[in-house]
Amino acid sequence: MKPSTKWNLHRLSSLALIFLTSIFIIFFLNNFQLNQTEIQNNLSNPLAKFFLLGFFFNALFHARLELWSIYDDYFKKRLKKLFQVSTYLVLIILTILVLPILGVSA
Amino acid sequence: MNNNIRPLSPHLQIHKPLLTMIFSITHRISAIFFFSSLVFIALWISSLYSQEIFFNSISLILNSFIAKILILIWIGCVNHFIFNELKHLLWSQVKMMELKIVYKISYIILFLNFFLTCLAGVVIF
Repeated sequence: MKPSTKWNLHRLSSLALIFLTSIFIIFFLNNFQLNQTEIQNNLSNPLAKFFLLGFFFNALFHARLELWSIYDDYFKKRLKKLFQVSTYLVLIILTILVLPILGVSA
Repeated sequence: MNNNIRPLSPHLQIHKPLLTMIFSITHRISAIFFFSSLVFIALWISSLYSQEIFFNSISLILNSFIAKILILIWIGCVNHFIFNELKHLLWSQVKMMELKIVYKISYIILFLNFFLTCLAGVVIF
């Protein structure tokens, strides 16, 4: 990825993350003490589901970009590669974990 | 610069701690904390459409006193991360970069974070 593209994507995802994280915190605080059916009812609104998934996938994408710059700054080549591969593995597992919300069984 | 010969960050202990430096370090720490928390967020989202027993276990943990304290700390970290991201967005536009303003923004971030975390605490408890 070209450094300028990476920089632009980082800024864009950062902007989206500011907005979506605020929405997620409000949603989470309003819902984490409710039962499963009540939360599912709140998520029956497609916009709520869109924002929840938007937050989650944007956070994963931003994590990928941000962690790479941290690895660049603090780790040498071999260790950096190890962290990058582990991060990719975790990101894939997390994506699979949230699939049920889309009606896809993992 | 070639990534192989790129110098790593210097040892932090040789520098006198400054507010701007502390914000930079804590921004990175809060970023790592925020991204690690995505594992638990994924588990919570996953439990919403999984078997009830799985959801109830997650819910039981989330509603314990210790988990509520951790959620509050998490909100404090996320606020810190988000406000600093906003500051970096302004810096990317070469705005508010004078040292005096940078210090003012840092204090505003601290105040807003404290206020919003307390507000979240009222909602949680």
